[in-house]
Amino acid sequence: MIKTVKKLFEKYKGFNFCAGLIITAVIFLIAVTGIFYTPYPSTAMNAALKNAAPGAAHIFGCDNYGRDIFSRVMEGIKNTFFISFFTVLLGSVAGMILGAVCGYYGGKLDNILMRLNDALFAFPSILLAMVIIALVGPGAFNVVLALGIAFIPSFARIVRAEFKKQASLDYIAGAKLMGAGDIRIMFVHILPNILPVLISSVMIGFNNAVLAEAGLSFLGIGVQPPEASLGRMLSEAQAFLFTAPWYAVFTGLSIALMVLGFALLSEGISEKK
Amino acid sequence: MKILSVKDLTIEFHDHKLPERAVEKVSFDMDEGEVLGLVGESGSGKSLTAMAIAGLLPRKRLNAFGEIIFEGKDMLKIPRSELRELQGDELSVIFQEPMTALNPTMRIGKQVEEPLFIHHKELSDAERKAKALDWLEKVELHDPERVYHSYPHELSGGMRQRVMIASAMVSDPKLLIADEPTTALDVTVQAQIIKLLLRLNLKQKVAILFISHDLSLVKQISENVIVMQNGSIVEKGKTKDVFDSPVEEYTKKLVAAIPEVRF
Amino acid sequence: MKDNTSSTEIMIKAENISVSFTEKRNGRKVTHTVLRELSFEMKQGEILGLAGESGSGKSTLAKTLLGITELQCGEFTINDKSPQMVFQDPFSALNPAKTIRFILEEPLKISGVKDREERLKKVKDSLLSVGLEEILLERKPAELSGGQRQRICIAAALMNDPGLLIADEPVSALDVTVQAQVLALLKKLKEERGFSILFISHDLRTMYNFCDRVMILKEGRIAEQGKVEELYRDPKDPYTKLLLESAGIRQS
Repeated sequence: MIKTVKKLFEKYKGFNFCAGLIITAVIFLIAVTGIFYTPYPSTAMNAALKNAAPGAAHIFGCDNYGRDIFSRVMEGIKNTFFISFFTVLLGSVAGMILGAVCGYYGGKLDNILMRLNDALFAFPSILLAMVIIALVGPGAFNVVLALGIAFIPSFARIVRAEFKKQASLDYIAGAKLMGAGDIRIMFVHILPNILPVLISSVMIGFNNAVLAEAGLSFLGIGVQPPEASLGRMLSEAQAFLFTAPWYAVFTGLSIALMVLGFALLSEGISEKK
Repeated sequence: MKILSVKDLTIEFHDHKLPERAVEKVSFDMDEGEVLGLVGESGSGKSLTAMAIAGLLPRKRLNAFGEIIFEGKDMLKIPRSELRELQGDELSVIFQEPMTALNPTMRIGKQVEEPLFIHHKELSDAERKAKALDWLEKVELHDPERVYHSYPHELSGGMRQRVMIASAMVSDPKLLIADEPTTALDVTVQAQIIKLLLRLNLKQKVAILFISHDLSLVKQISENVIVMQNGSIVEKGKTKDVFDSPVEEYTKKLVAAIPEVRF
Repeated sequence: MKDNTSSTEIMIKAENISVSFTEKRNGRKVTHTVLRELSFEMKQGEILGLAGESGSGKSTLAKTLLGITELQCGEFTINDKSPQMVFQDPFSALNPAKTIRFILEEPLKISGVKDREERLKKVKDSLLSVGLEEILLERKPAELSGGQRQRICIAAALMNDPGLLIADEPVSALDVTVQAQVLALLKKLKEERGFSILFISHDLRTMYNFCDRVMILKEGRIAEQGKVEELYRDPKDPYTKLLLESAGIRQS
């Protein structure tokens, strides 16, 4: 384990990779801690602390209900992080299988599935997600479902193009001659060759998911109150931009950091020597 | 009369941490109208040497030392503008891959005329076209008028290589550098192109630097030969002497690798 | 099943195979016939050369025999369960993401050799048999030279002892000195194990020394076939003559 981490660092040593890794690690730590512990209960209101400025007890200050913003940011990072994570997981796994099948087999099946894919692709993913949420209703689980489905087409396209390219190479013909089955060829022989492309698109996908989730919550159809999510908090903070600017600043900063971390990480991976 | 003189040509990659020598102290001369074969395997530096002579080295990635005197000018030291005046006029190159060496979106005629357009602005459109057609005929293409108006994808590999030769010869260069010009072609076409090059050498008195990995081809075309390995010249001399009684170990190995056909 | 003794000696028997491709061009379907009613036989243990220029259909014939390309009519039988192939381009013939060890172990895994130790021993033996060293095991194809890669391809193809090896221009991407070495290796392995080789090439010089019999293919038809010595000394077909002259083997 330690060896592989060391190897990873040797392979990717570079400012972007290191900075991205540190930021992402901190965000991940906050997200995981957010599951078990926040300094104050994130939904506990206190009228006396309404819009309180940052101080020793409440380092990020308090919101219009007197809730501790630091605790809510932790809670929000946790929700946003895990929603984005599962969104990308759903989108990339489904997209990968779809893309692999289309790219490897080609022919009519490919034609039909890809036209469907194009139809989905024609909608902006946030709009598509809104339609799905309108059908199944809001809530964290449904957000994952909606965004995940909306993310499938872009992954499917990338994976399909790569599979098509690899499937025409001689080593695949060789594997077929040896008697390797289709599933084995797809996932044991081809997949490792497209991992670099897949990883970088997963990273970019994660960022898009963070922004999309924040967007949905900002519109009020994502995570429902009193649960905290970064987008929802940003939309609430709007009204108090002048009375309690710290609310918007800290929430916005967390979103920015999260996206920056992953962007740097994917940049660092793609610039390896 | 000497037309080309290469002295102590050394080429280094300088984007690596250690300067890596791809060509080391290569020296040779070429006379007017001579056909010189440059033979070597991959990594021998033969193509880099040729590119240096043609003034096509990417200067940002490579450092070249020594002298390449062509037409009384040192190709390594003269400024870009002077280099451009020589390229395509006094000195032309034909490449290995006739597929990619021609612009797919440009008609053949325009591509053959291009060197005239650049170097002989005094010619009128009609004169240029006449010259291009003349050359398409000289490289033994049937129906030059039709070829003049077609696009590269409408021609076969052998025809494309003929077009490349026409375009290289249209401004009557003194030196033609042929970098593996027949490697991508079928054997029967290969033999025709070799014959064509030899005829051009005889009629137009153009000197040809023929680069190849194929010894049996070099044997057919060149009077003199240079054998390169790992960036240095191993052996040079009359083609017949070098191949019939090689001195160096590497040349012996190369000659032995030509499959012999004895009935 | 009429004559058992002679049918076991035949490796490939092809009768009237035709292959054509349909392609859509400007909305219209265009059919190219690549192989036209080819019939030939190949004996067991023979090295049969298949010569021809680009477009002659020699690679298509190989793909058809291996079942990669479908044939339109005619039939053929191959007297081997899993014939293997060595490709022209050793760069695309090896999976760039895998180690040499994986590449060589794969045919054994697929054919059901469960024991890890046994697999590793076989892999090491095969590396030695193609003249490579064990240190290469954990390397990836990109770290090897073209000749080394082609040796790995040969080792992988021969892993399960096929009866027929189809070699599609196996040395034309290699340097001349390496070409001779790889061909010598193929011949040595063939002598040791007794498989048959269908050797596809455009290089008539190489074929002369390597093959027992040669078939000359032109535009999907067999122009001429026969024993190497006889065919080179006394070609009947004008196209064969042209090929031999172009290669500088015969004087016109």
